[in-house]
Amino acid sequence: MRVPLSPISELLTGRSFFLMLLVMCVLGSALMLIYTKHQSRRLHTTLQQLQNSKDALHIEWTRLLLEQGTLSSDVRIESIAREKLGMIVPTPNPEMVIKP
Amino acid sequence: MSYKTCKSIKYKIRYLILSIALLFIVGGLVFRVVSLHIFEQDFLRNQGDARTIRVSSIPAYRGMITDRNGEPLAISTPVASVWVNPKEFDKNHPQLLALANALDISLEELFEKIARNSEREFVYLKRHITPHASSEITSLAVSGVHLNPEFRRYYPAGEVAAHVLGFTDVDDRGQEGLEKAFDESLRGIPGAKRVIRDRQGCEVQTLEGLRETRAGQDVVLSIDQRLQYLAYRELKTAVTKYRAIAGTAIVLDVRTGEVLAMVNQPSFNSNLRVKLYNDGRYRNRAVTDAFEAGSVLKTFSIANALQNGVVTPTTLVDTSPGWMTVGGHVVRDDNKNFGVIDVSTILQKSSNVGITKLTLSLPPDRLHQFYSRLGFGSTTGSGFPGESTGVLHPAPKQSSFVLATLAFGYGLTVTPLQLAQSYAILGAGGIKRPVTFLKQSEIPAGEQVIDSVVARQMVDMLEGVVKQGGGTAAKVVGYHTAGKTGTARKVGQGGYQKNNHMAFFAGLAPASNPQFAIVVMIDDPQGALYYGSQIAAPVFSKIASGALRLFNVPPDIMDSQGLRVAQFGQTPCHD
Repeated sequence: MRVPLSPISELLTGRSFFLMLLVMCVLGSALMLIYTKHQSRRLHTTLQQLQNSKDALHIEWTRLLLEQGTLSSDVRIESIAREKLGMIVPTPNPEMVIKP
Repeated sequence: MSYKTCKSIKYKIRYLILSIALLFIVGGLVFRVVSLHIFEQDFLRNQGDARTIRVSSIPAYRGMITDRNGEPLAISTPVASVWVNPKEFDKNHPQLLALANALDISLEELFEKIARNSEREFVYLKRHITPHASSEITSLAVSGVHLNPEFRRYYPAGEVAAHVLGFTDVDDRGQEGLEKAFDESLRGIPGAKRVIRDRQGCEVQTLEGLRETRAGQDVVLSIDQRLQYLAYRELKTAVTKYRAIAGTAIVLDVRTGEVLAMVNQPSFNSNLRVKLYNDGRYRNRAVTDAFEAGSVLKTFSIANALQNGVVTPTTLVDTSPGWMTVGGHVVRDDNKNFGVIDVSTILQKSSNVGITKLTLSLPPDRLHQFYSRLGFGSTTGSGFPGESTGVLHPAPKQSSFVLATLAFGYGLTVTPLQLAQSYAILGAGGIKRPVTFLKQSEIPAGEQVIDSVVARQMVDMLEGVVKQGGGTAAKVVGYHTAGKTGTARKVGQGGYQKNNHMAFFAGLAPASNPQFAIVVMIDDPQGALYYGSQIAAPVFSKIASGALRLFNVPPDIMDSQGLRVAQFGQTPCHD
């Protein structure tokens, strides 16, 4: 007469063992899915933040470009050079051409 | 029946009842699961999606326009537009006065606007508000009032480059000028994506991209902003000084056909177009307006004679007695008799008689052919919106007088840009290149339309005009320049007007190795001075000297007119 196996040792043999393995795999993959989903959402949030700051930086950049354009406008530079700094376009007399 | 069997029957009944009860429960659950999953799935999924899934748009910028050195000429910057949903609008919000102030309208106007559109769900209150006003409106948080991000175009150069650049409409689409010509590549296409949003409105996941964002491409123009400003300043000074109604100046790069500067008077501030003027100030006269240019075209009727091999620059022509009759009409030389002069003197003196004799010695169709090869009567290929071709008709075979008038620049119309291109052809050794507003990385292919020897002879003769002819005001210290003056009578009621003129100067600098073709046109000067040699030539001189300096062109006149050459062993600072 066969000695009946205890339930646990019965699970560790043959087909039952294989089934058990599959159950573990399913559970594992389910947990991994949760983990990766979480990761992907976190990364997506980061991406959003980076895109927002990129937009903000672009806005800032165009603003600075405009400011630079206003400050460096030829009209302004000319009036400052002529009136404030008393600069003139050199007449040819003090100019000297250097020939190679 | 024993007590034991009775008890077991009782258990069996209990067991049965329990089983049936459980079966019903399980059956109910299974039914619910099946119904949720199969019969109501679409409805439920839609409801869920409607609460979380949104289509979010990704804004796209309009590309920047820069000059050839990367200086920005047109930039789009984000601004907000305020809109209201009248159906959600909170009429009893305590801060409505602050809202009206931020919008720069009165409280009555605000209520009036909302009342008038009470049936709608979207009404703009104000477009393109300042960043300060938009942050104020955000902080007020009036229900039904929203901000919409949009773009506004700014032009740092303002009126200096207004005609070339053109402008965009309130929706950032090109309407005029190069903004319109290059709208296709400048325009950005906003993208869209489907996203999942959480309760706070943060995007948690992108499901799919619905439309790819296409950022507008930057356009690099051939314009040099410094030269553009310089030309604008000189033209404006001249137009104001001589009380002219309009003016145009163009600088072309002879070797590439690039437009380096193109300015017009009167101009407008492209950042602030508050009024609609009817005086044509929005028109880019340099390309849209064609005129009878007069004497500046005599250069080409002489080039035509040289090209056909009937004369050389030193061939002598008898122009006495200073007038002649052609087909019953009199052609005269301003009541002067130049006597026997050579071809280059004909150009210097701008002798109508000499030019008529040269042109009539050729087969009659040659001049028309020559003019069309130069590009008169067709566009320059610049692609500028609204470019005019000018008018060029072949002279009728039997009328030699019409042919003669064509030869001294009447009976055909050209735009200032065509004029600049034709002088650039002479400077480039007879090669015609398409005019372009885009910076070129290599020299574009051209077409030889004038013999290179003839082109060179013409430049030398034009240099003579500046040296001792009518163009002495076009001299530039340190450089040889070449060019031709012109004073054309304007056509008005009853034919050519006595007191309405257009002053022209077209020329090349430096003459020894031409790099710039410059055309200056001043329309209807009201003062005592109106000759091209008096008012257009000095503008040419100033623009040319600025261009030569900015582009670092070495002087071609040394040891004269005060320019000195440094010697070895001699340091400039000890001098």
